[in-house]
Amino acid sequence: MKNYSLILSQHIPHKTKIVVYELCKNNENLFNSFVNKIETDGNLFDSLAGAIRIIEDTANLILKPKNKFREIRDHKLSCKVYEAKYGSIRIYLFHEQKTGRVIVTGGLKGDQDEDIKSVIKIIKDYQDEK
Amino acid sequence: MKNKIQEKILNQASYWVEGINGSLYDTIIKYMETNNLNRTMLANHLGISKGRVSQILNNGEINFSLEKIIEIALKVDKFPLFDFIDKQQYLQKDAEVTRVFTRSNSKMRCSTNSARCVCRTS
Repeated sequence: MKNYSLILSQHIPHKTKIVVYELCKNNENLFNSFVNKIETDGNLFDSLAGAIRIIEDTANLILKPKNKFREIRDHKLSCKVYEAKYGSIRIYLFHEQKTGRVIVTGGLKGDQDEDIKSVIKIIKDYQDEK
Repeated sequence: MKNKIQEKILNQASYWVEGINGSLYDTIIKYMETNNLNRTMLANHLGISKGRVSQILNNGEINFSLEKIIEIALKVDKFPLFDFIDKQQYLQKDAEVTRVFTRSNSKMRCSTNSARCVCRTS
Protein backbone atom coordinates (compact mmCIF):
# COMPACT_ATOMS: atom_id res chain seq x y z
CA MET A 1 0.00 0.00 0.00
CA LYS A 2 1.46 3.32 -1.05
CA ASN A 3 1.32 6.42 1.11
CA TYR A 4 0.84 9.03 -1.57
CA SER A 5 -1.98 9.60 -4.02
CA LEU A 6 -3.27 12.40 -6.24
CA ILE A 7 -6.69 13.97 -6.30
CA LEU A 8 -8.03 16.45 -8.84
CA SER A 9 -7.79 19.88 -7.26
CA GLN A 10 -10.76 20.70 -5.09
CA HIS A 11 -9.75 24.34 -4.82
CA ILE A 12 -9.07 25.52 -8.36
CA PRO A 13 -12.53 26.72 -9.41
CA HIS A 14 -12.25 26.04 -13.16
CA LYS A 15 -10.88 23.42 -15.47
CA THR A 16 -7.45 24.32 -16.78
CA LYS A 17 -5.33 23.48 -19.83
CA ILE A 18 -2.78 21.78 -17.60
CA VAL A 19 -4.69 19.63 -15.12
CA VAL A 20 -4.11 20.58 -11.48
CA TYR A 21 -4.02 17.92 -8.76
CA GLU A 22 -3.44 17.94 -5.02
CA LEU A 23 -1.18 15.56 -3.18
CA CYS A 24 -2.60 13.28 -0.50
CA LYS A 25 -0.56 11.44 2.11
CA ASN A 26 -2.32 8.51 3.75
CA ASN A 27 -5.53 9.79 2.17
CA GLU A 28 -5.11 13.18 3.79
CA ASN A 29 -5.08 16.07 1.35
CA LEU A 30 -2.07 18.12 2.48
CA PHE A 31 -3.19 21.36 0.83
CA ASN A 32 -6.69 20.99 2.21
CA SER A 33 -5.32 21.09 5.75
CA PHE A 34 -3.60 24.38 4.96
CA VAL A 35 -6.75 25.85 3.36
CA ASN A 36 -8.82 24.83 6.39
CA LYS A 37 -6.35 26.54 8.71
CA ILE A 38 -6.44 29.77 6.66
CA GLU A 39 -10.21 29.62 6.48
CA THR A 40 -10.48 29.21 10.24
CA ASP A 41 -8.03 32.06 10.92
CA GLY A 42 -10.04 34.20 8.53
CA ASN A 43 -7.94 37.22 7.66
CA LEU A 44 -5.69 35.68 4.97
CA PHE A 45 -8.40 33.98 2.94
CA ASP A 46 -8.46 36.84 0.44
CA SER A 47 -4.73 36.34 -0.25
CA LEU A 48 -5.27 32.60 -0.55
CA ALA A 49 -7.89 33.21 -3.27
CA GLY A 50 -5.37 35.43 -5.13
CA ALA A 51 -2.70 32.73 -4.93
CA ILE A 52 -5.17 30.10 -6.18
CA ARG A 53 -5.98 32.37 -9.13
CA ILE A 54 -2.25 32.54 -9.94
CA ILE A 55 -2.08 28.73 -10.06
CA GLU A 56 -5.22 28.57 -12.21
CA ASP A 57 -3.87 31.19 -14.64
CA THR A 58 -0.43 29.59 -14.97
CA ALA A 59 -2.11 26.21 -15.58
CA ASN A 60 -3.88 28.01 -18.43
CA LEU A 61 -0.47 29.10 -19.76
CA ILE A 62 -0.97 32.75 -18.80
CA LEU A 63 2.33 34.45 -18.02
CA LYS A 64 2.96 35.82 -14.54
CA PRO A 65 5.86 37.90 -13.21
CA LYS A 66 8.50 36.06 -11.21
CA ASN A 67 7.48 37.70 -7.97
CA LYS A 68 4.10 35.98 -8.25
CA PHE A 69 5.04 32.62 -9.73
CA ARG A 70 8.63 31.43 -9.61
CA GLU A 71 10.52 28.25 -10.09
CA ILE A 72 12.30 27.00 -6.98
CA ARG A 73 15.79 25.83 -7.89
CA ASP A 74 18.67 24.28 -5.97
CA HIS A 75 17.13 20.86 -5.49
CA LYS A 76 17.96 17.53 -7.02
CA LEU A 77 14.46 16.56 -8.04
CA SER A 78 13.73 15.53 -11.61
CA CYS A 79 10.73 17.85 -11.83
CA LYS A 80 10.16 21.58 -11.76
CA VAL A 81 9.01 22.95 -8.41
CA TYR A 82 7.09 26.22 -8.25
CA GLU A 83 5.95 28.75 -5.67
CA ALA A 84 2.85 30.88 -6.16
CA LYS A 85 2.80 34.01 -4.03
CA TYR A 86 0.07 36.46 -3.10
CA GLY A 87 0.49 38.71 -0.07
CA SER A 88 1.68 36.54 2.82
CA ILE A 89 0.44 33.32 1.25
CA ARG A 90 2.72 30.84 -0.54
CA ILE A 91 1.53 27.74 -2.37
CA TYR A 92 4.02 25.06 -3.43
CA LEU A 93 3.53 22.80 -6.40
CA PHE A 94 5.46 20.76 -8.93
CA HIS A 95 5.01 19.69 -12.52
CA GLU A 96 4.78 15.97 -13.17
CA GLN A 97 5.29 14.88 -16.77
CA LYS A 98 2.22 13.31 -18.38
CA THR A 99 0.13 14.22 -15.32
CA GLY A 100 0.08 17.97 -14.74
CA ARG A 101 0.60 20.36 -11.88
CA VAL A 102 0.49 18.93 -8.38
CA ILE A 103 -0.16 21.22 -5.41
CA VAL A 104 1.75 19.97 -2.39
CA THR A 105 0.81 22.42 0.33
CA GLY A 106 0.81 26.07 1.33
CA GLY A 107 2.65 28.19 3.81
CA LEU A 108 3.18 31.69 5.09
CA LYS A 109 5.83 34.24 4.15
CA GLY A 110 7.87 33.89 7.36
CA ASP A 111 8.08 30.10 7.16
CA GLN A 112 9.29 29.99 3.55
CA ASP A 113 12.71 28.36 4.05
CA GLU A 114 11.44 25.57 6.27
CA ASP A 115 8.37 25.03 4.11
CA ILE A 116 10.45 24.71 0.93
CA LYS A 117 12.72 22.11 2.57
CA SER A 118 9.70 20.16 3.73
CA VAL A 119 7.99 20.37 0.31
CA ILE A 120 11.12 19.13 -1.48
CA LYS A 121 11.28 16.18 0.92
CA ILE A 122 7.62 15.34 0.36
CA ILE A 123 8.05 15.44 -3.44
CA LYS A 124 11.15 13.24 -3.16
CA ASP A 125 9.26 10.71 -1.01
CA TYR A 126 6.38 10.75 -3.50
CA GLN A 127 8.71 10.17 -6.45
CA ASP A 128 10.69 7.45 -4.65
CA GLU A 129 7.49 5.61 -3.90
CA LYS A 130 6.40 5.42 -7.55
CA MET B 1 -23.06 23.14 -7.55
CA LYS B 2 -19.44 23.86 -6.84
CA ASN B 3 -18.07 22.88 -3.47
CA LYS B 4 -18.35 25.46 -0.70
CA ILE B 5 -14.67 26.31 -0.65
CA GLN B 6 -14.53 26.97 -4.39
CA GLU B 7 -17.58 29.17 -4.06
CA LYS B 8 -15.93 31.06 -1.21
CA ILE B 9 -12.79 31.53 -3.34
CA LEU B 10 -14.90 32.88 -6.20
CA ASN B 11 -16.43 35.37 -3.78
CA GLN B 12 -13.07 36.99 -2.97
CA ALA B 13 -12.24 40.21 -4.84
CA SER B 14 -8.56 39.23 -4.99
CA TYR B 15 -9.42 36.23 -7.18
CA TRP B 16 -10.88 38.48 -9.89
CA VAL B 17 -8.38 41.32 -9.48
CA GLU B 18 -5.52 38.86 -9.93
CA GLY B 19 -7.27 37.49 -13.02
CA ILE B 20 -7.47 40.95 -14.62
CA ASN B 21 -3.90 41.84 -13.59
CA GLY B 22 -2.63 38.54 -14.97
CA SER B 23 -4.52 38.87 -18.20
CA LEU B 24 -3.22 42.39 -18.86
CA TYR B 25 0.35 41.41 -17.89
CA ASP B 26 0.24 38.42 -20.23
CA THR B 27 -1.17 40.54 -23.06
CA ILE B 28 1.48 43.25 -22.65
CA ILE B 29 4.38 40.75 -22.51
CA LYS B 30 3.16 38.96 -25.64
CA TYR B 31 2.71 42.30 -27.43
CA MET B 32 6.28 43.31 -26.50
CA GLU B 33 7.64 40.00 -27.81
CA THR B 34 5.64 40.10 -31.04
CA ASN B 35 6.65 43.69 -31.76
CA ASN B 36 10.23 43.49 -30.44
CA LEU B 37 9.69 46.34 -27.99
CA ASN B 38 11.95 47.14 -25.07
CA ARG B 39 10.64 48.84 -21.92
CA THR B 40 11.36 52.37 -23.15
CA MET B 41 9.60 51.74 -26.45
CA LEU B 42 6.67 50.19 -24.62
CA ALA B 43 6.41 53.17 -22.26
CA ASN B 44 6.33 55.54 -25.24
CA HIS B 45 3.80 53.40 -27.06
CA LEU B 46 1.46 53.18 -24.05
CA GLY B 47 1.97 56.80 -23.04
CA ILE B 48 3.01 55.92 -19.48
CA SER B 49 6.25 56.48 -17.56
CA LYS B 50 9.13 53.99 -17.63
CA GLY B 51 8.71 53.61 -13.88
CA ARG B 52 5.13 52.51 -14.37
CA VAL B 53 6.21 50.02 -17.05
CA SER B 54 8.77 48.56 -14.63
CA GLN B 55 6.07 48.32 -11.97
CA ILE B 56 3.89 46.32 -14.34
CA LEU B 57 6.65 44.08 -15.68
CA ASN B 58 8.42 43.43 -12.37
CA ASN B 59 5.46 43.10 -10.04
CA GLY B 60 2.54 42.45 -12.35
CA GLU B 61 0.69 45.16 -10.41
CA ILE B 62 -1.44 47.17 -12.78
CA ASN B 63 -3.31 49.50 -10.39
CA PHE B 64 -4.54 51.73 -13.19
CA SER B 65 -7.92 53.35 -13.49
CA LEU B 66 -10.48 51.50 -15.57
CA GLU B 67 -10.10 54.13 -18.28
CA LYS B 68 -6.32 53.64 -18.42
CA ILE B 69 -6.64 49.84 -18.53
CA ILE B 70 -8.96 50.17 -21.52
CA GLU B 71 -6.59 52.61 -23.24
CA ILE B 72 -3.66 50.21 -22.71
CA ALA B 73 -5.68 47.26 -24.02
CA LEU B 74 -6.55 49.16 -27.18
CA LYS B 75 -2.91 50.17 -27.68
CA VAL B 76 -1.81 46.53 -27.53
CA ASP B 77 -4.40 45.64 -30.18
CA LYS B 78 -7.01 44.10 -27.87
CA PHE B 79 -10.65 44.89 -27.16
CA PRO B 80 -11.26 44.63 -23.41
CA LEU B 81 -14.42 42.65 -22.69
CA PHE B 82 -16.12 42.95 -19.30
CA ASP B 83 -19.17 40.99 -18.38
CA PHE B 84 -21.33 40.68 -15.29
CA ILE B 85 -22.87 37.28 -14.81
CA ASP B 86 -25.43 36.18 -12.27
CA LYS B 87 -23.57 34.23 -9.57
CA GLN B 88 -25.95 31.27 -9.43
CA GLN B 89 -26.05 30.94 -13.20
CA TYR B 90 -22.26 31.12 -13.33
CA LEU B 91 -21.78 28.52 -10.59
CA GLN B 92 -24.25 26.09 -12.16
CA LYS B 93 -22.76 26.37 -15.64
CA ASP B 94 -19.26 26.05 -14.30
CA ALA B 95 -20.15 23.06 -12.13
CA GLU B 96 -21.49 21.26 -15.20
CA VAL B 97 -18.23 21.83 -17.08
CA THR B 98 -16.28 20.62 -14.05
CA ARG B 99 -18.48 17.49 -13.78
CA VAL B 100 -17.82 16.52 -17.40
CA PHE B 101 -14.12 17.30 -16.99
CA THR B 102 -13.88 15.30 -13.78
CA ARG B 103 -15.64 12.31 -15.33
CA SER B 104 -13.22 12.28 -18.24
CA ASN B 105 -10.18 12.60 -15.95
CA SER B 106 -11.11 10.26 -13.12
CA LYS B 107 -9.42 6.91 -13.29
CA MET B 108 -10.61 5.34 -10.08
CA ARG B 109 -11.95 6.26 -6.68
CA CYS B 110 -10.08 5.94 -3.45
CA SER B 111 -11.08 5.89 0.17
CA THR B 112 -11.38 9.68 0.21
CA ASN B 113 -14.65 8.85 -1.56
CA SER B 114 -14.42 11.96 -3.70
CA ALA B 115 -15.66 12.06 -7.27
CA ARG B 116 -12.55 14.08 -8.11
CA CYS B 117 -10.12 11.52 -6.81
CA VAL B 118 -7.63 9.88 -9.15
CA CYS B 119 -5.94 7.93 -6.42
CA ARG B 120 -3.21 5.62 -7.63
CA THR B 121 -2.74 3.65 -4.43
CA SER B 122 -5.78 1.41 -4.58
